[in-house]
Amino acid sequence: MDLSVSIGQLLVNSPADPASVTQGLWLIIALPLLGAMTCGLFGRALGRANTNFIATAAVVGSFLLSALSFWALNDPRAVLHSAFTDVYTPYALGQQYGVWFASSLFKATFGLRLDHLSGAMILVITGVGALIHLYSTAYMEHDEGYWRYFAYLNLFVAMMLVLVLADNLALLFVGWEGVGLCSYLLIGFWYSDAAKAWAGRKAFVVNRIGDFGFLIGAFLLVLVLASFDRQWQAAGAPRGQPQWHASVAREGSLHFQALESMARVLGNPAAPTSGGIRLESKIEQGPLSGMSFGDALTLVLLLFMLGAAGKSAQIPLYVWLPDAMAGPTPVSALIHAATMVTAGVYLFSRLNFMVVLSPTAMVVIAVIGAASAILAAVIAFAQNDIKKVLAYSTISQLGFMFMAAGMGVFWAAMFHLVTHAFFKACLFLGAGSVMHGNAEETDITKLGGLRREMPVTWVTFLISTLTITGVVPLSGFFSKDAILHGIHSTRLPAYPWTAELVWAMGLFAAFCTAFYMFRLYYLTFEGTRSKEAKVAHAHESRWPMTVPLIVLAAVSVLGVAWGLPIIKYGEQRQALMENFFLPVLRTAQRLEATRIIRHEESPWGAWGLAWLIAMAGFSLATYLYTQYFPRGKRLPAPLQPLASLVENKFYVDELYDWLIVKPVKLASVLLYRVVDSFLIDTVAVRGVGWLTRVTGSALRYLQTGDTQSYAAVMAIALLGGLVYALLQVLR
Amino acid sequence: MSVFDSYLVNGVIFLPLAFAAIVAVLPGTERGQIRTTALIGMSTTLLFATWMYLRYAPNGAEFQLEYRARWLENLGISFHTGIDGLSASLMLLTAFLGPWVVLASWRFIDVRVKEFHLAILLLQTAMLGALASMDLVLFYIFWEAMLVPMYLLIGVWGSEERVMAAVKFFLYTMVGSLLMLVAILALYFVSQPTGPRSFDYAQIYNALISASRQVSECAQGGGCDQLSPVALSLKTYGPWMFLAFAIAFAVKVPMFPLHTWLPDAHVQAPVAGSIILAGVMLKMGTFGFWRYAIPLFPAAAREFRPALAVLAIIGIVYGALMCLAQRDVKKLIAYSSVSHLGLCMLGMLALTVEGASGSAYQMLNHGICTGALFLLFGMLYERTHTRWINEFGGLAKVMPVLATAFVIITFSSIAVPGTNSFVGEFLVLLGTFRSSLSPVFGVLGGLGIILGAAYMLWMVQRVFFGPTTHADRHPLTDLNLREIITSIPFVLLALAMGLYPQPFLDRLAPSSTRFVARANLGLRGSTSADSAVEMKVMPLPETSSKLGAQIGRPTSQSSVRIARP
Amino acid sequence: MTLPDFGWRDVLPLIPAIVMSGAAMVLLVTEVFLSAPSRTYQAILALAAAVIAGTVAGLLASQPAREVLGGFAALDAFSSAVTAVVCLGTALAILLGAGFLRHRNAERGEFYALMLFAATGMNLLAISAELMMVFISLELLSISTYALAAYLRRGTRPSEAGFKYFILGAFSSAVLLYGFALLYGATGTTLLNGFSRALPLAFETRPSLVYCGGMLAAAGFAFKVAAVPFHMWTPDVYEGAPTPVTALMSVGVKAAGFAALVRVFTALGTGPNLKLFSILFAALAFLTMVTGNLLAVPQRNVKRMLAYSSIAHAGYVLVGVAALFAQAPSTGSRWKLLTAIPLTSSGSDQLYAATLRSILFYLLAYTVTAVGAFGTLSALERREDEEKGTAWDLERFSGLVHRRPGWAVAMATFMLSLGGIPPTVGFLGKLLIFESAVDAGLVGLAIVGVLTSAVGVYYYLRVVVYMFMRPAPEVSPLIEPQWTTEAALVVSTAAVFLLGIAPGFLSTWLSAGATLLGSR
Repeated sequence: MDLSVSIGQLLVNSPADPASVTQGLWLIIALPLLGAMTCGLFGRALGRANTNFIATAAVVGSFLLSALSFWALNDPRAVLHSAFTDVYTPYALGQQYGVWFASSLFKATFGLRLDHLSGAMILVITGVGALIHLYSTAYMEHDEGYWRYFAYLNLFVAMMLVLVLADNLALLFVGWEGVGLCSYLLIGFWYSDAAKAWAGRKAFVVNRIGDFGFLIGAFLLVLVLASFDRQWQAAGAPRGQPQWHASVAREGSLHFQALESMARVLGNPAAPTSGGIRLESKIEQGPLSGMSFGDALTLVLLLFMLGAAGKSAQIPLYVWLPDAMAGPTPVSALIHAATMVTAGVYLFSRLNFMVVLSPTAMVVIAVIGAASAILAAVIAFAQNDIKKVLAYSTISQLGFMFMAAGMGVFWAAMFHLVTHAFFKACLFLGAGSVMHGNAEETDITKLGGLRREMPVTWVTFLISTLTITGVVPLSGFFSKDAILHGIHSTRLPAYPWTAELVWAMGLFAAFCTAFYMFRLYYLTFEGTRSKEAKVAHAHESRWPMTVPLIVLAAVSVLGVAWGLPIIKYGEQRQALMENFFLPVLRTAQRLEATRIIRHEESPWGAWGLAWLIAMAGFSLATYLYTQYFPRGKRLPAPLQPLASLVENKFYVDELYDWLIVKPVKLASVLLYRVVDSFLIDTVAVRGVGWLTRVTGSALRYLQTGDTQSYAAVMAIALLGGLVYALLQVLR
Repeated sequence: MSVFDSYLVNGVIFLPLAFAAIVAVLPGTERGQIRTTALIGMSTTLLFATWMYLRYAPNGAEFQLEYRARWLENLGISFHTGIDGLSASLMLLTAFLGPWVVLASWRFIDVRVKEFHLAILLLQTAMLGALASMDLVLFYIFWEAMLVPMYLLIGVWGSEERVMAAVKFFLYTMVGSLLMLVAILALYFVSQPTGPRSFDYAQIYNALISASRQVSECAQGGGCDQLSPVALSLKTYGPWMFLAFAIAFAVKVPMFPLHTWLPDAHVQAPVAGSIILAGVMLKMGTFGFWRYAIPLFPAAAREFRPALAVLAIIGIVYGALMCLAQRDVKKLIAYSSVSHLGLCMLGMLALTVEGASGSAYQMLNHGICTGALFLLFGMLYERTHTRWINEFGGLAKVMPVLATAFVIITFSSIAVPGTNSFVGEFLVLLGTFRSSLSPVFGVLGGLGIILGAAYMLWMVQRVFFGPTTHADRHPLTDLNLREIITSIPFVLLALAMGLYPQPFLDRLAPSSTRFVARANLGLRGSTSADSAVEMKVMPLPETSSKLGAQIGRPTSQSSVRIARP
Repeated sequence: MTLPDFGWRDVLPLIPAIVMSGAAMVLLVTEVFLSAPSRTYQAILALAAAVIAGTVAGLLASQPAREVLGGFAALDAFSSAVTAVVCLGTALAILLGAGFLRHRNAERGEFYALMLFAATGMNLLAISAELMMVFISLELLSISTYALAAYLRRGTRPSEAGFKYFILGAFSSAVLLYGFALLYGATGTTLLNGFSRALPLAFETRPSLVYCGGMLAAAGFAFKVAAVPFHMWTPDVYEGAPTPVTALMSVGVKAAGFAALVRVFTALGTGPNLKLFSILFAALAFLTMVTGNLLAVPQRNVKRMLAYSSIAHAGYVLVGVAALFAQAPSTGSRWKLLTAIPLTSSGSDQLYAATLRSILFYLLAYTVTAVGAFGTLSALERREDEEKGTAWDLERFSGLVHRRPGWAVAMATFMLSLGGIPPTVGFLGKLLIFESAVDAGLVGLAIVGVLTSAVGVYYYLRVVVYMFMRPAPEVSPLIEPQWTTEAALVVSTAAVFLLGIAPGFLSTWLSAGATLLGSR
């Protein structure tokens, strides 16, 4: 019998019924939040053991709840009937818990939504989160600020859950900034070290630039919704409009379903409900008037891209992520690899129905992703800090996801997001384990030969390296090649060349990935121990650190299952993940039909190519770092300057410093000295007072104290008066 | 309305005065008693203010809990108080700050304790009165009366440059408000060409409605030929009167370029002074725009709106840039106030309901955040006696509690979602985008979000993080119980108002709606009938009450003539 | 010719004058035969006289307005009100004088007698409705003040002050007299109530006489009320004269002067062809406000500062006067600042009465405030410093709040009231004056007024700064407080607040005071 059917049978009958799950969704968030408050307020009093336990338990509990709710999704009764139009989403639950704030036409609600998209996310967040909490109990065992640490970490999990569970953009933004806040706190966790503290601030401010874009986008979206409502009504209030109008008033303006149904109407003007409103029709009122709906949506999406670039460390705002490695390594694993940085990808997958409406935005997203993927990968070539390498590889992998999202292959993006969460977390934790065992040494040139000293770390690290490289038959291979294949089989009629371009860039990025990852691997684990090593012999870490490594490595192997085309869909078979995300992407699929051409092609060819590419990078690295350099050979002279350029990250940080930071500082000082202190305060304000005093003193000289002169003045005044009087008469 | 209700507002206003009287009779050496009395007085005021706030029914009449008595009636003045949503909220804010101000000065003020508490109690009465008064002259009296105690607070208990700062503060605000006085007088005659005239806010407003409508319609081209006499003079002198009001309020807000008194005043003032200044007094400016300048002269206001909006934007960005250039914590916070209140003004000038509510909410938020910042820094200042950022460092290690509170408040002041300011700024910016102002204003206003994070975090960084520099000079102790108690309410409120703002917004909503309706009076597309914007207030009571005074406009019988031979 | 027969009713308005001059006589006579050193009774007697006179005047205010003494005097509420204000000022000045003299043990009957004579002069000036009588009472008033200014014979300053005052005073009297002569020439009568009949013809035939006469008369009065540019004597005389006398001059003389001025020019009428005078007073007001305030700014000598401030306040009263005679709003004038703009349209009678009321109230407000200020000054000055001229230096005030909190608070009150800050009487006075100005359309003047009063706040605050924000100097002994002085301070402080917050009890009295015999 068919595999899918049997799996389906297994999953359908969940122990909890959807209704009660819907009621309790908020518990998933509340649990870690409670943990955060407990650790933060009483952590010091409770002591280390208790704090460790409470924090970890909170996340584990949240994980169990998530699993339960996720399970309930597969119940046939779990159908989210959209309040806005008659469309419905299967395998989804939603609930509004109350109004956050409302003013006249705008309304933000506490509404949560659980579907396969957010479901996958919460499982990853709480699952990986739980493992990393466990790991941290050992990693932070000597740190005094453990209670702060766990408070922040729990808070982060809560915020991330808010981000993914929110059913409207306003609430999503709470999570969006909340995670940034936590990352700020955790990057600067060791605040006594000024550099680390500054790194935290840099991360927050750069993120703020992104959030600025996000907010503006959201505001514009509100405007678009308003004028859409007005004009849709003006179009004779076709079927669905009154209901939609009422629902917006009830559910809030930025509700995803509101956006979705708007996209549906705008997307296919053929439908009877549209009443002639189409993407091309102009907005009539408000600041956006004159713009067409399509352009407005494009603008909004581009602004969201700015926000996503901030959160997900893409060009041009990626600069904060490498510095963010100042935080404790588990934090890097959880926040700066597995979860927070994927928020951008999640956002676009969530807004898939809008993305597919705007080819321009799609191209921009995809190209930015590709560029980031390559740039970061190249920079990773020359980095010697183990965490920095992983950070750049994160940027590059996120680039892959953006490519996919940009090309409308959302499922592949999400798939890669999940697998990446596993193997990148594993890599980071491995790095942490390495540092832990080597007296916090992060310079890979000062390590080496660890395979014998840290077997568990070695094995898991190797597995996840192979995974990220994309070696058959590991999950990374399927996810990455799902992306490449998806892109390759996609055409945007509006921009015919892009798919090919992005695909090619993707392949090159894949090659680089294989190269720098194995460079990292060889320098760290193979070869002989470096002379400059801090400790003669590294020691393997305790079980709380190794267990998560093993689990994550295992999952990144098993992840394979999601990639295999085992689900029968129509006449051809689909990968499990693709099928899994179908319900969420239905609208996108319906809308993209007219805008995106997908030609079916058997994946084998693409897979083979991708595999060869990965192998090429792998073998090059193997040759260089096992044969070439160990024999004392240096880089050929012509490549030296290039190498140093790469080593210095193309001087992008310096560039930003010169172009933005310094000018702003200079301007502020100049304005303060020249305008504020001098022009306004001294010249204008004190000037008036000075003038008054001076005139007063000047007038005093008339006050000679000499009677004759007094009389004279009076006489003159009198004379003047009389003359004036006589003039009046003569008139 | 029960008898008690009719005196509730006056009770709130004059309770501090009553306790000031008690303090006055206490011997100056009994510092403990004086402080306690003042604290009790402030707390009682807060109690009654809360009661008043809860008694205010959002969906009820515009002005509630009114009280009106005959006073100087032959001058057209009457003692008329009452609250609408905004003034009730701001009065609550004022009353809320009271007790913490006293507590914050418990140890900080040790010279002339008695006079100090007299000053803050009188100041409290003046501010509450200005917020509640419904008569232009009464308002002006309270408005000016605010200056003197604040002037003394800065000048007597301030730091090195205090006298300069105090005088600057006094004269700056004085010039503005004196022009306003002339404008009030002119308005008094313009609005009511023929007697019996009155300075009553509502009467003057109602007298102007139709004229304002005509003027606005004329301004939009059309109907300029059949203006009523009132409308004619309003058309001619309205802009000038508006400017006079606007300048008076813009100084208080303060709007660029009339802001330079603020940094000095803040830096020199004692903690209490800074808290009250930032917490309430600046709101007087925005409140003035909201209550008087814009509704009374809608046409003129719309005429000057672009200029004012530009100034507000400049205030936001420029203020933020100023912060980046500061080396003095208090100055930095002062300039951040310039930036934040620029946002308030922007929201108000958007003339949309979202913008207005956001602006009003932002007034409360700024009062709480900046008040708390000054409060917490004051605690630090008590210990270190320096304001220079570069003399601090790594304080989080030695005073974790203070650091935590400070950081939370910082996040609230840079509008992280979940804190009060986020709601305010969100609504303000949304309102700006919704408004007829070009989106550029919204975008530039949003810049404040980025810069805000930049300078506040920079300051926090330098003061609390990094290697500890200050501890070695003299060991610092963390907050004591009194100080913790003082700071907790602010933190809680910042979070509560961020997570559950609706109750506050509900009370502001009616005021916002009315404000927008009045500001857009006569504008094309705004459909608000005269009856909709008209103000309904209680008439002058028949029975002449105690205060009833009549410096005579001569009654007809008193101006006797004799036949000339 | 037969003597006109006067009924007792004709004497009514003279009662205050009679009481005070009588008391003065008694003082003079007893002084001669006095051997006992104690002279406390003199102060009490003088005080009593002033108070009684004031009370009587206050009561007279309710009398119906009428001419008395064959039109030579007018018994109307305005004159009575002014008289009452004057008597109040005199009473307070006497209280101050008592302490002042006792400190210098220069207490003699002449002093009080002269004060009472001066007050008598003021009283007569207020009621007189005939040019000659105006002149005579003015002279009575002036001569007594000349003498008072030079009362302290030791030291050069007082005599210098008296001399200057006398010379310039004589000059101005001459001018005034000449002005009256011209007016008489123009109208053929010296009775003010005769003007209304004679003037129309006079304007037809001899307008230049009327104009020049009015101009000269105005100059004469301007000297008495110390309006710029006839103010030059003020600082020197005020500084030189004994402080209580300065107080009397700054309040009483001004009040009486304004009373006479208002009466005479009301009689001259404000017909369209007298536009000249409205501009004249506006110009005077403008100059006086600006110059007075600006001159006061650099002053570190508080007594001189107060002298200049009294000039400035004369300016504010002149704003009221200008409003009184303001022409019907005229748009096309070159003197935008000084001429009326068509802002409102209250009935001119109502406007006239209201403005008169404002002027009265302002005089009252200024009286209580200024006397208080001079009082604090006199309480602080030590005779040792007078010659050096440092007796009134700002330094004397530094840290006063630490040494004499009561005085400091009182002085602060007076300063704020002079600056026109609510809730003091000064604010209400300014409010009324500017209200009248705006009502008359003199918005330009009103704006100048408020701006100059902002300048004023600057130097008033400086005193507060010294009292509250400066440390007390080590070596600068204070003289022991005199109960009379402190009584005066208490009274005026109370008055400043009471009148500022609830001037109700004056209402009927003041509204009645707004009637002037023979006003249109």
